[in-house]
Amino acid sequence: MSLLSLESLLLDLPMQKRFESDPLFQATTLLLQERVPKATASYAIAAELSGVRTTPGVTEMPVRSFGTPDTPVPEVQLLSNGRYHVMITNAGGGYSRWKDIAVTRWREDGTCDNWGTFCYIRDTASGEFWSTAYQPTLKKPEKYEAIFSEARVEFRRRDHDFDTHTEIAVSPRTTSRCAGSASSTAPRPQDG
Amino acid sequence: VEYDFLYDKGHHLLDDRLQRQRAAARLGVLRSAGFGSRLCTFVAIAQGQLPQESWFALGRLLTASGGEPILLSWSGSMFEYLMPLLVMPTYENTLIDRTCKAAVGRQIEYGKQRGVPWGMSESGYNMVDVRLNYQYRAFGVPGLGLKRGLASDLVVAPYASVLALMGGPEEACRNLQRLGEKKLIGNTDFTRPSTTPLHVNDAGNRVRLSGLSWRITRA
Repeated sequence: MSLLSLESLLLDLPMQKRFESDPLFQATTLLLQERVPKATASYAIAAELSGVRTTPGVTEMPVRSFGTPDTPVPEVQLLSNGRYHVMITNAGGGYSRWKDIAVTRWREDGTCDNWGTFCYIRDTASGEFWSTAYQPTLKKPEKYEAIFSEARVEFRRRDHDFDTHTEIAVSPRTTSRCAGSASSTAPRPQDG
Repeated sequence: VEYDFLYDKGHHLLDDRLQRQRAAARLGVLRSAGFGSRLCTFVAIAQGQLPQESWFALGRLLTASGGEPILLSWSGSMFEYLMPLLVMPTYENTLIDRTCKAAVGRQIEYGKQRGVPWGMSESGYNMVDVRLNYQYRAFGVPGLGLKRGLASDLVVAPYASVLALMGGPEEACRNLQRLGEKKLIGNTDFTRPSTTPLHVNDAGNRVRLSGLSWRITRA
């Protein structure tokens, strides 16, 4: 094997030329001229290399925060545990699906964005109601914030005397958890 | 040569397992699926014994090494990449050509990372069985091979550098000189068992490598 290698270098590829001179092989050489594919899924092997190199710093996903539900284009956060997937926009719309089954209906429409799962709050004294995010009641809050971090989506809003804080997370094991909390400076009966 | 008994019609591939059991002697080069079989499959197609589909059925798992796309092999050894080039022609800028050059590049880089002369391939190594026969198996560079645990062994085989003459002649020559200076190529058997993790294979495990390699010091 080593001799062949030296020979190919020093004697200008004699074996390869011999191989090429056979008509049978000439008819098939096109197979050897395969191009490098331009776009392809490449195989990640970083784990194998980590023992040798120092692992490059894990890039942390920046936290995105929006002070308004009315961005020119809906901003979107995707949460998933591999089976259950949730998409949420900064106005509180979106969809959830289990594997390839849609749990809630969703139509792609950047102007409405009124699909999804919602929580409503009603002030029993005045009868006024709103949702914990902006969609679908579209009540203008006094203060509004949508926070997208790696693990969860949070909505904070203030209406009259109510502060609501909604956290949406997809637990790795079960399906999903949706926690909401409401507090008020002056406690009042309310429906949540 | 008849290939029918090896050919898996469902997958259009030569069956490596069958080969190991029945035909190890007949088709010794067909060691790892995908790479060594490049030569074998090509010859069989040229002779009209296998359909052309079997060429495209060979695995084409790509990874990137220093920005270069490169085909992954099983054990990441120099042998797998460069053996077919010993007899097969290659063409500039094709997938195979780029892969072979990138493989040599990665071998060099890995040698630098570990601070040893580069060139890893299947080889005898410093471990013996009950009869004191040196053991033989494939070693490779992590990042080129699919096999796990490649980084846990460090065996440098000089014949890998000789093979690399086809991929990067100047670097290969320098590496061989370096191996010579360090007295890591000798005409005795193996270097003495050492406590360091680096086992350097001498030019040949007499039985298995006699056909593969050649004693450089006797040139």
